[in-house]
Amino acid sequence: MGAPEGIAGVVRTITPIELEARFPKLGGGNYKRASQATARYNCLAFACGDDRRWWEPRPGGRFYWPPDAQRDTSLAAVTRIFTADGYSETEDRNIESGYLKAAIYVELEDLDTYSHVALSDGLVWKSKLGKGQDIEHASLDLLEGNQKDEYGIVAAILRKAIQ
Amino acid sequence: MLLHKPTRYGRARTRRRSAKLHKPQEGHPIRRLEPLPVAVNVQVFIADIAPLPTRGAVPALRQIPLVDSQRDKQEKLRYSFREHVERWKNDTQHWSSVAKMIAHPSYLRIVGLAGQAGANEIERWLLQELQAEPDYWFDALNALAGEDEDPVPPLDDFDGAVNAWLAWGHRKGLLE
Repeated sequence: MGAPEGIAGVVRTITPIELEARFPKLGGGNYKRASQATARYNCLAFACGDDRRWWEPRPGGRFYWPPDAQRDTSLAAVTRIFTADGYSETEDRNIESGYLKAAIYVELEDLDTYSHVALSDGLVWKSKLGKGQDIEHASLDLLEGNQKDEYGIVAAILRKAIQ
Repeated sequence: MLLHKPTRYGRARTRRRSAKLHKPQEGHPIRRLEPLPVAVNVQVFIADIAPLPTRGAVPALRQIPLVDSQRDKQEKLRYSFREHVERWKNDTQHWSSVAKMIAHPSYLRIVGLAGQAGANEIERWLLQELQAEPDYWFDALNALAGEDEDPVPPLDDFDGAVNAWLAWGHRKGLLE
């Protein structure tokens, strides 16, 4: 998954120095870049296995929102998208072998609206950073905080067994 | 009868007297007098009530191009556009919500710049931006071009929307 080079949706990929300035806990080998930046899909799409559409409840073919889901970006609505796909809530923030995990972040100033979703495939945490690049990161706390572009706090974690 | 002998002030006597009076005395160096500051208040009166001549009324004025002021205005506008584009891209790069992105002050300002620009200028620059680095400029283009002009089929994805707007720009002569 991830945007290959030279496609229409690719935007400028920022350098590691720029990225680490935006997310001050990233650095020292605790993450790696996994794709080019692209505005084609967002973190929620990425966590749900879609790298063609931007998941947001807006009209237009470039946006997608699950037809049965509540049409807003609240923590509750996003959590239900995952539970409808077979995930169940857990308190465990660690990567678990044999489980997909989704971690939903919310901004400290707006605890009811999701700001980011990270996905674990049982080996590593993966994140699509907005219109930026995909990264693999060692833990959830690397994107937590309220400095620069950090995503706030993890408010919900869900998991389901890998088939 | 004369009570006083009239004093005679011939030139030679005057010089001698002046030299005696102004002879520096020992221990008393000559003290030069500094000129007193004098405030000069000059007022220039310009008859500014008369209307300026129009360009057409004075043949010589027809020869003076107004290109420089127009170019300055254009450059300032272009600078402002670039500044807001860069700020918007910088601030929103890691956001997950397009609804939030298009409410960013710089995004709104870019749309607002159209009021100061020439016909279709902001649309032209946005299309060039879309061509160089595809991003969510669709709402701005839609706002500027008018809803009736939206060239994107309802089910087109991101790449389809980019291509539809670029094709629209070519049709309108806004892109080469």
